[in-house]
Amino acid sequence: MSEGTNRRTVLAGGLTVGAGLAVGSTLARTATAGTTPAPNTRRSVSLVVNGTRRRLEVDPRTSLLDALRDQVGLTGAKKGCDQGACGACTVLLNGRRVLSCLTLAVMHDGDEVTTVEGLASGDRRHPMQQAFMDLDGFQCGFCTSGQIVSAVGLLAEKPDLRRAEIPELMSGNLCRCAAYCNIRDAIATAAGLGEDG
Amino acid sequence: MRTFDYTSPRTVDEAVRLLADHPGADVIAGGTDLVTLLRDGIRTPTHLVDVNGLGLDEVSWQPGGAVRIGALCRNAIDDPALGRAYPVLVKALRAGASPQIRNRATFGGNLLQSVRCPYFRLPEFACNRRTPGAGCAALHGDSRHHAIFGTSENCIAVHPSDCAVALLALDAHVLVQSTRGTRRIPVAELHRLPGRTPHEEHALRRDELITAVELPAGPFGAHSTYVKARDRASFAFALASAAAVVAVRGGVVRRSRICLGGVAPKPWRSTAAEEALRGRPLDDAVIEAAADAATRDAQTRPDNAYKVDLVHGVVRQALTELREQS
Amino acid sequence: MSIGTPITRIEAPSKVNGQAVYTADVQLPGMVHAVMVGSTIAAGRLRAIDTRAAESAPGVLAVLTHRNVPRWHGTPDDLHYVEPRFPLADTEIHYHDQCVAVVVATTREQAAYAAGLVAVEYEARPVVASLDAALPTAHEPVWRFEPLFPSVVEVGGPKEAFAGSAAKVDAEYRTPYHSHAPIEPNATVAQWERGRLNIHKTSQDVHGDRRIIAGALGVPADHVRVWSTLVGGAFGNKTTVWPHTLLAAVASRQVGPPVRLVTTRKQVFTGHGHQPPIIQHLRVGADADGTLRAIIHETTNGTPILFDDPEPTISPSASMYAVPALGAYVRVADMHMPAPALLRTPGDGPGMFAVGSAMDELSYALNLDPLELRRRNHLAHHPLKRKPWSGKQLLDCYALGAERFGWDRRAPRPRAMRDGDDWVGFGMSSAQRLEPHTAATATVAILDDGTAEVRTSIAEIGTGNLTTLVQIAADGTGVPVRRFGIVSGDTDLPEAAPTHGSRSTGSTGTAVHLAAQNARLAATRLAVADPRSPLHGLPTDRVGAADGRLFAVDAPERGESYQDLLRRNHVKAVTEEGHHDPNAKNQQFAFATFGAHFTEVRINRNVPRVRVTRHVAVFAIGRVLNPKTARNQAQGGIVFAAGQTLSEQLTQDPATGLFVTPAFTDYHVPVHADVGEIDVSFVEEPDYNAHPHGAKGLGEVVCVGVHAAIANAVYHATGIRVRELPITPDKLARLVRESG
Repeated sequence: MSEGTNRRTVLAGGLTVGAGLAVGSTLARTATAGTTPAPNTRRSVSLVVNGTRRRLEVDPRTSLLDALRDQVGLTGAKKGCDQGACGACTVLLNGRRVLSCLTLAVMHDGDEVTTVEGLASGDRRHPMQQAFMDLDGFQCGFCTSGQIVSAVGLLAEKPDLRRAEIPELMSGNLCRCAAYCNIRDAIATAAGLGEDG
Repeated sequence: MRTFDYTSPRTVDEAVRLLADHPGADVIAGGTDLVTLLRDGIRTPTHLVDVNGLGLDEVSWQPGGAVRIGALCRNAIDDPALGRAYPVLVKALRAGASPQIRNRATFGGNLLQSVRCPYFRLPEFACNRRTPGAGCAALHGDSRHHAIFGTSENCIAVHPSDCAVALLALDAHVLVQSTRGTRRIPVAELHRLPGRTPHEEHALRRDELITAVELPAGPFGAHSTYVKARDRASFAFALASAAAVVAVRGGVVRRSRICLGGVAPKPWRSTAAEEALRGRPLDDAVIEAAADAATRDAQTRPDNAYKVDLVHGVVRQALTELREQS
Repeated sequence: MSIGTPITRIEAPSKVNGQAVYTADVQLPGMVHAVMVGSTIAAGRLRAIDTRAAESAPGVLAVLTHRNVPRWHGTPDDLHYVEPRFPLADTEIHYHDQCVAVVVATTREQAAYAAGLVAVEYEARPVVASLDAALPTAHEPVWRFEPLFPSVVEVGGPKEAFAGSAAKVDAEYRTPYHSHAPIEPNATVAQWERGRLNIHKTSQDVHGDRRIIAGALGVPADHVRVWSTLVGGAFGNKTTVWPHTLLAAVASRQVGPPVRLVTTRKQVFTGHGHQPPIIQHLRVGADADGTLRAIIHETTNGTPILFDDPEPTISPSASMYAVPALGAYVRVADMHMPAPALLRTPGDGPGMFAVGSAMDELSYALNLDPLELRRRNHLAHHPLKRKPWSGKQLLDCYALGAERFGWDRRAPRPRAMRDGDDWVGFGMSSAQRLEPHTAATATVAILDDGTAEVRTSIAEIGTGNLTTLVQIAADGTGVPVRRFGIVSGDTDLPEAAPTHGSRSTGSTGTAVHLAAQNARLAATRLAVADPRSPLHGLPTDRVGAADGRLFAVDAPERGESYQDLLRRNHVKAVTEEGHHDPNAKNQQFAFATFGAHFTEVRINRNVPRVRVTRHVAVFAIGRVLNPKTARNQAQGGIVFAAGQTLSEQLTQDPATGLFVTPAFTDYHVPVHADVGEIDVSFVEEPDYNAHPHGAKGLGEVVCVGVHAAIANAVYHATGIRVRELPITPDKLARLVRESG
């Protein structure tokens, strides 16, 4: 393994010193294809992931989360518990937020899935991503993809969202670092809610 | 997880035919409970019948005012008319799980979810529900969450559903279908007490599929609420909960339903509490008497004796809310 | 100046767009998957294990058990391995879910399925499944390694002093198993390349981990490389090497391709650390005016059968107050439990729950405001070391906190504040955490392209340390933050302090501070010696640095950029090292961080769950490097401790010793809806006696005292003194029946 692909350099201001964090996941995407011979129990499903149609051969036991992470190579959605109890795997399924660990990939032929990687428009962050950044809506970052996708799903579910409703309606997303105050503020900001909103 | 054959039928007839043909089949709808049971090896179906393609996801108001909720309607259902006619149902749904889970979990699946006893969910413990005759480790274990009503020497687990408690309070029925035809089962008779057969969780035969839940016509149901006590503010199962429906006419309670969650192996109706209310005004003393009656005949253990007080509290809270609304 | 400004975390873009890479995200070509099989008993031995069905299951490449695991090298004790027994070393079972086999297969699903086919026959033995059951074995700890604190402290005849005190508290406080429960499960990806081992793992200390991994596998340390850049929460449970890391490494060596082993959520709860159950018996005596006369603090915690691991809960009683007579006694009792791990905040967290509760009880006995009681016993020096604290602004924290909270609105009697069906209560506690000094090394490089970088092995566990280290380096070199990078989380880099025990800011921060100073000085020397430099001939101490440029302090327009200087001299980079030597700390002082918590709880009489509706905290941590990340970390720590206080407990089945609640559905960490208003401020006074940059640690002191503040508020609200955590609704259920 070459030094360049392994060293993860975190950069301020986007300058190129060493290899950026993204390199790791580029590696992830290229390394996955074809590592696993498909047993004959595999089934073909077609998913539209972040706007791109993907045909996958999946073991019927494979969760949507594992399919996204290991086969599509999108590791933004995280496996925090694999029990539906932490929210780190939240994705949008046909526009609604769901836990991708609690559903099987084989059940979603033809469905549209949006992960955190699909929220930005080109280089422009989604307003929710920007608000999480600006308001420090995370610490370790592990639950963050799920928090952001969940918050985007929340705004779609409730266009008339009030600030006071955010805590209850985000309670499916645990943040063990407990950046909850900032997450709340970030969602309120992205939703254009004032202090009393 | 053991591997299985996966099928996604397009019609109810096709689905029930699959169930009839494959004795080892399980139905998957939202999957929010079943997937974890598969992963932990607690359920090991040979076939998985995915019913998500069957439709069955509409709310239809019947002539006469009853309403039929398709079995595949999600628990996130946001129907203002339902909210007006049956506030207890909408409140119970919103008190359950998390938004992500409610977006997937279905009415049928919610009713049929397995108990949340950790001794059931961890394969290393003995459990009569999982393996008939194996014994019940919970009996001598940590019983803080366990039932105080309807238990047997074979099982003390609680049914975890909030929605089912509300449906019981609303005298709901489930409509089921099999290759033999259709039938209606009152929610009150859907779940079984453990007795000597705790592995028989509900009255559905293994080839039957719930197609809808039916709620009787109002106005009974319109004056109702749901109160849930739990270990944290949200996203936790009930330690105790109360669904209360009252009909007050002429200043006195004519009819009521007081049902409890988190305290029995099935949604638990307290006829004693209802008796305490009947023909009386909904005042402090009557509320107190009903709350007290709701705890009658509780069989507690040292770890769960507190549930008696919690039942008292949630019933009082629910009835107090209803009094303040009227 | 960048220090003190609320800059956004430098890794933030990758964390909001899903590109941030954590251990389980690492994919290597040909990678296969491993799953651990855990014991289904907590005490006994493995009589037989049948792996044939698993071995013949589809996709299975290997099944490791005690029969075929390669011989480990070294000894667990010499290597400071987490427990005195290597994984799969023998057939003895000492705790639930202890690894008895590892299945390696092509896919995760195949490995998980085959793991269920491993058939094990056990011979169960009687189990010690609770601290109460273990108490007959309570004993003074035998330290496995260097003692970290004394087991017995006795000063001034505590028993006599207590007996003669005018006011007394004599109470027992209990805390349960608490789990770290990071959202990221512990994970390892292991890859062998021509006898060299690459390990990606969830780690708070890559160098420390490498020493253990290399030693156990019998490989020279320089043949092992460990990476851990971003960690998805740790709180102490990633401070060491757990069995799964060693097993992933041997599995990969056996099967060839890289192996990924991600623990299940259950395994995180059962076998990746916790704080053990603790019973603390406190006796506190005081004069009628509140002056403390005696503290007797006896603590007993559960410890694994194989070794003693005492929890230093006596820390607050031995360092907080001016008490003339102190008795502190630490004991451990043998239980069938897995190895504990430091949990935010070791010792002081549970210790201050007991001490802060006892102080509150004393205040009622004396009819004295609990804040006033603490003020009267304030101490400017460490009572046992007899050294002044390097910087202690605790009185200022009390004053500011009380004002922001509105402490003067507190009714003096309990159960006197009511709002509708809510009982309302106020509670407070002090916070204190000793500030450690640990060896740390870093380099800072100023590069000829106008950028600069910090290099140190530190892992970013969510505390914001990459950002604050860059801020320190930016101010030290005069290169702006936006042109700084940091290379981290890799054993090829200089060894940082482990990211536990609040060491990053103080120790690694000092190393970076020194490296930055040295790099700037080296560049300055180059400039003043260079006849082509506008700074030629100046004394180095007359040269300043800012905006990526060196300049004459007396004539700021005279100067040049680092970039020009280096390019002209054909120097690619000026790289200098900084080293923090813990022995070089100022011996005149004792070091700690301080704070005060004020909290409001509400408890509905019908649904008696404690809601923390308002919390005000003030901390004195020296200089605040980044107010944005600091405030976030403080709020998070308060919620973390509030969860331990109100809803978290890992329960062991009393009959079998198996864990009953190893899941987020049962181990209730706080959710969004649990969190009320949290107001955090700092009494900011740089502490240059502690560290040259004036800043101290924050991550742990923020949790200390929260438990007591909440428990005290619950008493104030209801008149019910709960001395056993967590304060779940069952402990307050009797409120329902008590007359309104």
